[in-house]
Amino acid sequence: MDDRELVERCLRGDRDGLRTFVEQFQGWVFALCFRQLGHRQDAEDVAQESLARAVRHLAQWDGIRPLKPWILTIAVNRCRTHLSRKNTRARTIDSEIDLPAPTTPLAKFDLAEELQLALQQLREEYRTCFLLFHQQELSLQEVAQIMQCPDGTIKTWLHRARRELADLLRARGVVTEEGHELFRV
Amino acid sequence: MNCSEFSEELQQLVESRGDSPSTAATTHINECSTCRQQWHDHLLLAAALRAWIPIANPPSLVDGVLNQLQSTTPGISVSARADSRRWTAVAMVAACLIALIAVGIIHQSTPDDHNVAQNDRRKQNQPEPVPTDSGSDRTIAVASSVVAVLEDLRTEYQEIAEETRASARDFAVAIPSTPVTPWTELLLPDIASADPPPVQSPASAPSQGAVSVISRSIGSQIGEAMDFLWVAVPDGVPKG
Repeated sequence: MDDRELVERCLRGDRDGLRTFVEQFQGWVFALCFRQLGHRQDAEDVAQESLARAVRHLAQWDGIRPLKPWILTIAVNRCRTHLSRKNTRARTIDSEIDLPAPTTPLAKFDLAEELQLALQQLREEYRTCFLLFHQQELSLQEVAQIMQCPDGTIKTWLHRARRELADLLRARGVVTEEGHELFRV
Repeated sequence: MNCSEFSEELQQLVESRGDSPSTAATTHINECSTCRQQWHDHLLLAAALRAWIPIANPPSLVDGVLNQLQSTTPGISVSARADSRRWTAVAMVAACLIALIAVGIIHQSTPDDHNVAQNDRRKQNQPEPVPTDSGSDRTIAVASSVVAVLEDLRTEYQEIAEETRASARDFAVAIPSTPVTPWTELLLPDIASADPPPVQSPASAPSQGAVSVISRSIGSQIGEAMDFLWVAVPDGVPKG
Protein backbone atom coordinates (compact mmCIF):
# COMPACT_ATOMS: atom_id res chain seq x y z
CA MET A 1 0.00 0.00 0.00
CA ASP A 2 1.53 3.33 -1.00
CA ASP A 3 1.41 6.52 1.05
CA ARG A 4 -1.42 8.09 -0.91
CA GLU A 5 -3.71 5.08 -0.57
CA LEU A 6 -2.94 4.82 3.13
CA VAL A 7 -3.72 8.48 3.68
CA GLU A 8 -7.00 8.18 1.80
CA ARG A 9 -8.06 5.30 4.00
CA CYS A 10 -7.22 7.32 7.10
CA LEU A 11 -9.14 10.32 5.83
CA ARG A 12 -12.18 8.09 5.33
CA GLY A 13 -11.97 7.18 9.01
CA ASP A 14 -10.96 3.58 8.31
CA ARG A 15 -9.83 2.14 11.67
CA ASP A 16 -7.56 -0.46 10.12
CA GLY A 17 -6.02 2.19 7.94
CA LEU A 18 -5.34 4.37 10.95
CA ARG A 19 -3.74 1.52 12.80
CA THR A 20 -1.57 0.67 9.81
CA PHE A 21 -0.56 4.30 9.51
CA VAL A 22 0.51 4.53 13.14
CA GLU A 23 2.27 1.17 13.07
CA GLN A 24 4.15 2.13 9.94
CA PHE A 25 5.52 5.42 11.23
CA GLN A 26 5.75 4.87 14.98
CA GLY A 27 9.29 3.50 14.80
CA TRP A 28 10.74 6.48 13.00
CA VAL A 29 8.85 9.01 15.08
CA PHE A 30 9.60 7.42 18.42
CA ALA A 31 13.29 6.93 17.62
CA LEU A 32 13.63 10.56 16.62
CA CYS A 33 11.84 11.76 19.73
CA PHE A 34 13.88 9.50 21.97
CA ARG A 35 17.18 10.65 20.51
CA GLN A 36 16.06 14.26 20.61
CA LEU A 37 14.75 14.28 24.15
CA GLY A 38 16.94 11.63 25.79
CA HIS A 39 14.05 10.50 27.97
CA ARG A 40 11.90 7.51 27.17
CA GLN A 41 8.65 8.57 28.78
CA ASP A 42 8.85 12.07 27.35
CA ALA A 43 9.64 10.57 23.96
CA GLU A 44 6.61 8.32 24.13
CA ASP A 45 4.35 11.23 25.02
CA VAL A 46 5.70 13.45 22.27
CA ALA A 47 5.66 10.63 19.71
CA GLN A 48 2.04 9.92 20.53
CA GLU A 49 1.16 13.57 20.25
CA SER A 50 3.05 13.87 16.97
CA LEU A 51 1.36 10.87 15.37
CA ALA A 52 -2.08 11.98 16.51
CA ARG A 53 -1.44 15.45 15.16
CA ALA A 54 -0.24 14.01 11.87
CA VAL A 55 -3.44 12.01 11.50
CA ARG A 56 -5.61 15.01 12.34
CA HIS A 57 -3.84 17.12 9.72
CA LEU A 58 -3.48 14.49 7.03
CA ALA A 59 -5.72 16.51 4.73
CA GLN A 60 -2.98 19.13 4.58
CA TRP A 61 -0.37 16.70 3.31
CA ASP A 62 0.87 17.44 -0.19
CA GLY A 63 0.41 14.14 -1.98
CA ILE A 64 3.26 14.71 -4.41
CA ARG A 65 5.80 14.75 -1.56
CA PRO A 66 6.94 11.77 0.49
CA LEU A 67 4.98 11.22 3.67
CA LYS A 68 7.80 10.35 6.04
CA PRO A 69 9.56 13.78 5.99
CA TRP A 70 6.21 15.46 6.47
CA ILE A 71 5.48 13.41 9.58
CA LEU A 72 9.00 13.91 10.89
CA THR A 73 8.54 17.65 10.49
CA ILE A 74 5.65 17.45 12.91
CA ALA A 75 7.73 15.34 15.30
CA VAL A 76 10.64 17.79 15.16
CA ASN A 77 8.31 20.67 15.93
CA ARG A 78 6.70 18.81 18.81
CA CYS A 79 10.11 17.98 20.25
CA ARG A 80 11.12 21.62 19.95
CA THR A 81 7.96 22.71 21.73
CA HIS A 82 8.50 20.14 24.43
CA LEU A 83 12.06 21.26 25.01
CA SER A 84 11.10 24.91 25.16
CA ARG A 85 8.43 24.12 27.74
CA LYS A 86 10.94 22.22 29.79
CA ASN A 87 13.38 25.10 29.58
CA THR A 88 10.65 27.44 30.74
CA ARG A 89 10.18 25.25 33.77
CA ALA A 90 13.93 25.38 34.33
CA ARG A 91 14.30 21.66 33.82
CA THR A 92 17.35 20.98 31.78
CA ILE A 93 18.07 17.95 29.67
CA ASP A 94 21.14 17.24 31.72
CA SER A 95 19.20 16.75 34.90
CA GLU A 96 16.57 14.64 33.17
CA ILE A 97 18.82 12.03 31.65
CA ASP A 98 21.03 11.77 34.68
CA LEU A 99 24.36 12.26 33.01
CA PRO A 100 27.20 10.34 34.60
CA ALA A 101 29.78 12.30 36.48
CA PRO A 102 33.04 12.90 34.62
CA THR A 103 34.83 10.64 37.04
CA THR A 104 32.56 7.68 36.24
CA PRO A 105 34.59 4.87 34.73
CA LEU A 106 34.09 4.77 31.00
CA ALA A 107 33.87 1.02 30.96
CA LYS A 108 30.32 1.33 32.26
CA PHE A 109 29.09 3.03 29.12
CA ASP A 110 29.15 1.71 25.63
CA LEU A 111 29.72 3.71 22.52
CA ALA A 112 26.04 4.18 21.74
CA GLU A 113 25.42 5.62 25.18
CA GLU A 114 28.39 7.93 24.79
CA LEU A 115 26.96 9.22 21.54
CA GLN A 116 23.54 9.71 23.11
CA LEU A 117 25.04 11.65 25.99
CA ALA A 118 27.08 13.80 23.66
CA LEU A 119 24.04 14.51 21.51
CA GLN A 120 22.21 16.04 24.45
CA GLN A 121 24.92 18.65 24.73
CA LEU A 122 24.55 19.92 21.18
CA ARG A 123 22.52 22.88 20.12
CA GLU A 124 19.02 21.80 19.26
CA GLU A 125 19.47 22.67 15.55
CA TYR A 126 22.66 20.68 15.28
CA ARG A 127 21.12 17.69 17.05
CA THR A 128 18.03 17.71 14.85
CA CYS A 129 20.11 18.02 11.72
CA PHE A 130 22.42 15.18 12.77
CA LEU A 131 19.52 12.89 13.69
CA LEU A 132 17.52 13.52 10.54
CA PHE A 133 20.52 12.89 8.35
CA HIS A 134 22.23 10.02 10.13
CA GLN A 135 19.48 8.30 12.07
CA GLN A 136 16.52 8.86 9.77
CA GLU A 137 18.77 8.69 6.71
CA LEU A 138 17.05 11.56 4.97
CA SER A 139 18.78 13.47 2.20
CA LEU A 140 20.19 16.92 2.83
CA GLN A 141 17.37 18.38 0.77
CA GLU A 142 14.75 16.63 2.87
CA VAL A 143 16.43 17.78 6.05
CA ALA A 144 16.44 21.31 4.67
CA GLN A 145 12.73 21.09 3.94
CA ILE A 146 11.93 19.82 7.40
CA MET A 147 14.04 22.43 9.14
CA GLN A 148 12.98 25.12 6.68
CA CYS A 149 16.55 26.21 6.00
CA PRO A 150 18.71 26.47 2.89
CA ASP A 151 20.74 23.40 1.94
CA GLY A 152 23.95 25.27 2.69
CA THR A 153 22.87 25.92 6.26
CA ILE A 154 22.09 22.26 6.75
CA LYS A 155 25.52 21.28 5.45
CA THR A 156 27.14 23.72 7.86
CA TRP A 157 25.08 22.52 10.80
CA LEU A 158 25.78 18.88 9.99
CA HIS A 159 29.51 19.57 9.76
CA ARG A 160 29.53 21.44 13.06
CA ALA A 161 27.41 18.80 14.74
CA ARG A 162 29.82 16.09 13.71
CA ARG A 163 32.84 18.09 14.80
CA GLU A 164 31.35 18.91 18.20
CA LEU A 165 30.27 15.33 18.76
CA ALA A 166 33.74 14.08 17.95
CA ASP A 167 35.22 16.63 20.36
CA LEU A 168 32.82 15.54 23.10
CA LEU A 169 33.54 11.88 22.56
CA ARG A 170 37.26 12.47 22.64
CA ALA A 171 36.87 14.55 25.79
CA ARG A 172 35.10 11.57 27.35
CA GLY A 173 38.05 9.36 26.51
CA VAL A 174 36.64 7.61 23.47
CA VAL A 175 39.27 7.78 20.73
CA THR A 176 40.24 5.99 17.59
CA GLU A 177 43.49 4.29 17.05
CA GLU A 178 45.24 4.35 13.75
CA GLY A 179 44.07 1.28 11.89
CA HIS A 180 40.44 2.26 12.62
CA GLU A 181 40.23 0.35 15.87
CA LEU A 182 38.52 1.93 18.85
CA PHE A 183 39.76 1.72 22.37
CA ARG A 184 39.24 3.61 25.59
CA VAL A 185 41.98 5.43 27.47
CA MET B 1 46.13 16.64 -2.25
CA ASN B 2 46.19 19.52 0.22
CA CYS B 3 44.20 19.97 3.45
CA SER B 4 41.43 21.97 1.79
CA GLU B 5 40.89 19.32 -0.88
CA PHE B 6 40.87 16.61 1.79
CA SER B 7 38.23 18.43 3.82
CA GLU B 8 36.07 18.81 0.75
CA GLU B 9 36.39 15.12 -0.09
CA LEU B 10 35.60 14.13 3.47
CA GLN B 11 32.47 16.26 3.44
CA GLN B 12 31.35 14.67 0.19
CA LEU B 13 32.06 11.27 1.68
CA VAL B 14 29.78 12.07 4.60
CA GLU B 15 27.00 13.46 2.43
CA SER B 16 27.09 10.46 0.12
CA ARG B 17 27.31 8.10 3.10
CA GLY B 18 30.47 6.58 1.70
CA ASP B 19 33.26 5.00 3.71
CA SER B 20 36.24 4.66 1.41
CA PRO B 21 38.56 7.62 0.80
CA SER B 22 40.43 8.00 -2.45
CA THR B 23 44.04 6.92 -2.77
CA ALA B 24 45.15 10.56 -2.78
CA ALA B 25 43.20 11.21 0.42
CA THR B 26 44.71 8.15 2.08
CA THR B 27 48.16 9.35 1.16
CA HIS B 28 47.39 12.78 2.59
CA ILE B 29 46.08 11.27 5.83
CA ASN B 30 49.40 9.55 6.37
CA GLU B 31 51.27 12.81 5.81
CA CYS B 32 49.13 15.37 7.68
CA SER B 33 48.37 14.94 11.37
CA THR B 34 45.52 17.49 11.34
CA CYS B 35 43.68 15.73 8.55
CA ARG B 36 44.45 12.36 10.13
CA GLN B 37 42.65 13.57 13.23
CA GLN B 38 39.66 14.56 11.11
CA TRP B 39 39.63 11.13 9.54
CA HIS B 40 39.76 9.44 12.92
CA ASP B 41 36.87 11.59 14.10
CA HIS B 42 34.93 10.45 11.05
CA LEU B 43 35.63 6.81 11.90
CA LEU B 44 34.73 7.40 15.52
CA LEU B 45 31.31 8.79 14.63
CA ALA B 46 30.73 6.04 12.10
CA ALA B 47 31.45 3.43 14.76
CA ALA B 48 29.18 5.19 17.26
CA LEU B 49 26.36 5.35 14.74
CA ARG B 50 26.76 1.67 13.99
CA ALA B 51 26.54 0.98 17.71
CA TRP B 52 23.17 2.68 17.87
CA ILE B 53 20.88 -0.28 18.13
CA PRO B 54 17.29 0.13 16.95
CA ILE B 55 15.02 1.43 19.66
CA ALA B 56 12.12 -0.82 20.58
CA ASN B 57 8.77 0.85 20.16
CA PRO B 58 6.67 1.25 23.29
CA PRO B 59 3.97 -1.44 23.17
CA SER B 60 1.27 1.02 24.10
CA LEU B 61 2.09 3.68 21.53
CA VAL B 62 -0.30 2.54 18.78
CA ASP B 63 -3.24 2.18 21.14
CA GLY B 64 -2.32 5.45 22.81
CA VAL B 65 -2.47 7.30 19.51
CA LEU B 66 -5.74 5.65 18.51
CA ASN B 67 -7.29 6.41 21.88
CA GLN B 68 -6.16 10.00 21.67
CA LEU B 69 -7.69 10.29 18.21
CA GLN B 70 -10.86 8.66 19.42
CA SER B 71 -11.29 11.21 22.17
CA THR B 72 -10.37 14.28 20.13
CA THR B 73 -11.36 13.66 16.52
CA PRO B 74 -15.11 13.71 15.94
CA GLY B 75 -15.02 11.87 12.63
CA ILE B 76 -13.00 9.06 14.08
CA SER B 77 -14.70 8.93 17.42
CA VAL B 78 -18.09 8.13 15.87
CA SER B 79 -16.93 4.98 14.15
CA ALA B 80 -14.74 3.98 17.06
CA ARG B 81 -17.55 4.33 19.56
CA ALA B 82 -19.92 2.48 17.25
CA ASP B 83 -17.38 -0.33 17.07
CA SER B 84 -17.06 -0.30 20.83
CA ARG B 85 -20.81 -0.45 21.37
CA ARG B 86 -21.19 -3.25 18.85
CA TRP B 87 -18.47 -5.34 20.46
CA THR B 88 -19.90 -4.73 23.92
CA ALA B 89 -23.30 -5.96 22.78
CA VAL B 90 -21.79 -9.03 21.14
CA ALA B 91 -19.76 -9.79 24.26
CA MET B 92 -22.84 -9.51 26.48
CA VAL B 93 -24.90 -11.81 24.29
CA ALA B 94 -22.05 -14.33 24.17
CA ALA B 95 -21.67 -14.22 27.95
CA CYS B 96 -25.39 -14.81 28.45
CA LEU B 97 -25.36 -17.78 26.06
CA ILE B 98 -22.35 -19.29 27.78
CA ALA B 99 -24.00 -18.86 31.17
CA LEU B 100 -27.23 -20.47 29.99
CA ILE B 101 -25.44 -23.43 28.44
CA ALA B 102 -23.31 -23.91 31.54
CA VAL B 103 -26.35 -23.84 33.81
CA GLY B 104 -28.16 -26.29 31.55
CA ILE B 105 -25.30 -28.77 31.56
CA ILE B 106 -24.94 -28.54 35.31
CA HIS B 107 -28.61 -29.14 36.05
CA GLN B 108 -29.36 -31.74 33.45
CA SER B 109 -27.84 -34.62 35.35
CA THR B 110 -28.88 -33.91 38.96
CA PRO B 111 -31.13 -30.91 39.17
CA ASP B 112 -31.81 -31.25 42.90
CA ASP B 113 -28.26 -31.36 44.13
CA HIS B 114 -26.36 -29.74 41.33
CA ASN B 115 -23.72 -27.96 43.40
CA VAL B 116 -22.63 -31.05 45.31
CA ALA B 117 -22.44 -33.12 42.15
CA GLN B 118 -20.53 -30.42 40.36
CA ASN B 119 -17.99 -30.10 43.16
CA ASP B 120 -17.60 -33.88 43.30
CA ARG B 121 -16.91 -34.02 39.60
CA ARG B 122 -14.34 -31.25 39.93
CA LYS B 123 -12.57 -33.05 42.74
CA GLN B 124 -12.38 -36.24 40.69
CA ASN B 125 -11.33 -34.34 37.55
CA GLN B 126 -14.19 -35.90 35.65
CA PRO B 127 -15.53 -34.16 32.55
CA GLU B 128 -18.93 -32.56 32.59
CA PRO B 129 -21.69 -34.79 31.15
CA VAL B 130 -22.59 -33.87 27.61
CA PRO B 131 -26.33 -33.54 26.96
CA THR B 132 -27.67 -35.83 24.28
CA ASP B 133 -31.25 -34.57 24.00
CA SER B 134 -32.70 -32.97 20.97
CA GLY B 135 -32.51 -29.21 20.53
CA SER B 136 -35.94 -28.33 21.82
CA ASP B 137 -35.70 -30.64 24.83
CA ARG B 138 -32.34 -29.16 25.65
CA THR B 139 -33.69 -25.63 25.44
CA ILE B 140 -36.56 -26.52 27.76
CA ALA B 141 -34.16 -28.19 30.17
CA VAL B 142 -31.88 -25.15 30.17
CA ALA B 143 -34.80 -22.81 30.78
CA SER B 144 -36.08 -25.00 33.61
CA SER B 145 -32.63 -25.07 35.15
CA VAL B 146 -32.38 -21.30 35.02
CA VAL B 147 -35.74 -20.96 36.73
CA ALA B 148 -34.72 -23.47 39.38
CA VAL B 149 -31.49 -21.65 40.09
CA LEU B 150 -33.27 -18.33 40.37
CA GLU B 151 -35.81 -19.85 42.75
CA ASP B 152 -33.03 -21.30 44.87
CA LEU B 153 -31.26 -17.98 44.92
CA ARG B 154 -34.38 -16.11 45.96
CA THR B 155 -35.18 -18.53 48.75
CA GLU B 156 -31.66 -18.54 50.07
CA TYR B 157 -31.41 -14.78 49.89
CA GLN B 158 -34.64 -14.40 51.84
CA GLU B 159 -33.46 -16.78 54.54
CA ILE B 160 -30.09 -15.11 54.85
CA ALA B 161 -31.68 -11.68 54.88
CA GLU B 162 -34.00 -12.73 57.68
CA GLU B 163 -31.22 -14.24 59.74
CA THR B 164 -29.00 -11.23 59.25
CA ARG B 165 -31.81 -8.92 60.19
CA ALA B 166 -32.50 -10.94 63.36
CA SER B 167 -28.85 -10.80 64.33
CA ALA B 168 -28.78 -7.07 63.72
CA ARG B 169 -31.83 -6.66 65.93
CA ASP B 170 -30.18 -8.67 68.71
CA PHE B 171 -27.13 -6.52 68.38
CA ALA B 172 -29.10 -3.29 68.49
CA VAL B 173 -31.19 -4.41 71.48
CA ALA B 174 -28.13 -5.49 73.41
CA ILE B 175 -26.58 -2.07 73.17
CA PRO B 176 -28.16 0.40 75.60
CA SER B 177 -29.67 3.65 74.31
CA THR B 178 -29.35 2.84 70.63
CA PRO B 179 -29.56 6.16 68.81
CA VAL B 180 -32.29 6.46 66.21
CA THR B 181 -30.61 6.99 62.90
CA PRO B 182 -31.98 6.80 59.37
CA TRP B 183 -30.69 3.27 58.93
CA THR B 184 -32.24 1.99 62.17
CA GLU B 185 -35.57 3.51 61.14
CA LEU B 186 -35.29 1.75 57.83
CA LEU B 187 -34.06 -1.64 59.00
CA LEU B 188 -35.49 -1.88 62.51
CA PRO B 189 -38.70 0.16 62.61
CA ASP B 190 -39.93 -1.54 65.80
CA ILE B 191 -36.85 -0.49 67.73
CA ALA B 192 -36.72 2.99 66.25
CA SER B 193 -40.33 3.74 67.17
CA ALA B 194 -40.14 2.29 70.69
CA ASP B 195 -39.61 4.43 73.72
CA PRO B 196 -35.99 4.95 74.54
CA PRO B 197 -34.82 2.46 77.14
CA PRO B 198 -33.89 3.75 80.55
CA VAL B 199 -30.33 4.73 81.03
CA GLN B 200 -28.50 1.80 82.48
CA SER B 201 -25.66 1.90 84.81
CA PRO B 202 -22.33 0.67 83.52
CA ALA B 203 -22.73 -2.43 85.65
CA SER B 204 -25.97 -3.47 83.91
CA ALA B 205 -24.71 -2.81 80.37
CA PRO B 206 -23.63 -5.88 78.36
CA SER B 207 -20.07 -6.77 78.82
CA GLN B 208 -17.47 -6.42 76.11
CA GLY B 209 -17.49 -10.20 75.75
CA ALA B 210 -21.23 -10.30 75.09
CA VAL B 211 -20.93 -7.67 72.38
CA SER B 212 -18.13 -9.66 70.79
CA VAL B 213 -20.28 -12.80 70.70
CA ILE B 214 -23.10 -10.94 68.99
CA SER B 215 -20.70 -9.30 66.55
CA ARG B 216 -19.25 -12.68 65.68
CA SER B 217 -22.75 -13.96 65.02
CA ILE B 218 -23.43 -11.16 62.56
CA GLY B 219 -20.05 -11.64 60.95
CA SER B 220 -20.64 -15.36 60.51
CA GLN B 221 -23.99 -14.67 58.88
CA ILE B 222 -22.39 -12.31 56.38
CA GLY B 223 -19.62 -14.81 55.74
CA GLU B 224 -22.18 -17.52 55.13
CA ALA B 225 -23.96 -15.30 52.66
CA MET B 226 -20.76 -14.66 50.75
CA ASP B 227 -19.91 -18.38 50.74
CA PHE B 228 -23.34 -19.20 49.40
CA LEU B 229 -22.94 -16.65 46.62
CA TRP B 230 -19.54 -18.05 45.73
CA VAL B 231 -20.85 -21.59 45.38
CA ALA B 232 -24.24 -20.84 43.88
CA VAL B 233 -23.17 -18.61 41.01
CA PRO B 234 -22.80 -20.78 37.88
CA ASP B 235 -19.37 -21.25 36.35
CA GLY B 236 -20.31 -19.23 33.26
CA VAL B 237 -20.52 -16.08 35.35
CA PRO B 238 -17.19 -14.58 36.44
CA LYS B 239 -16.89 -14.73 40.22
CA GLY B 240 -15.59 -11.99 42.40
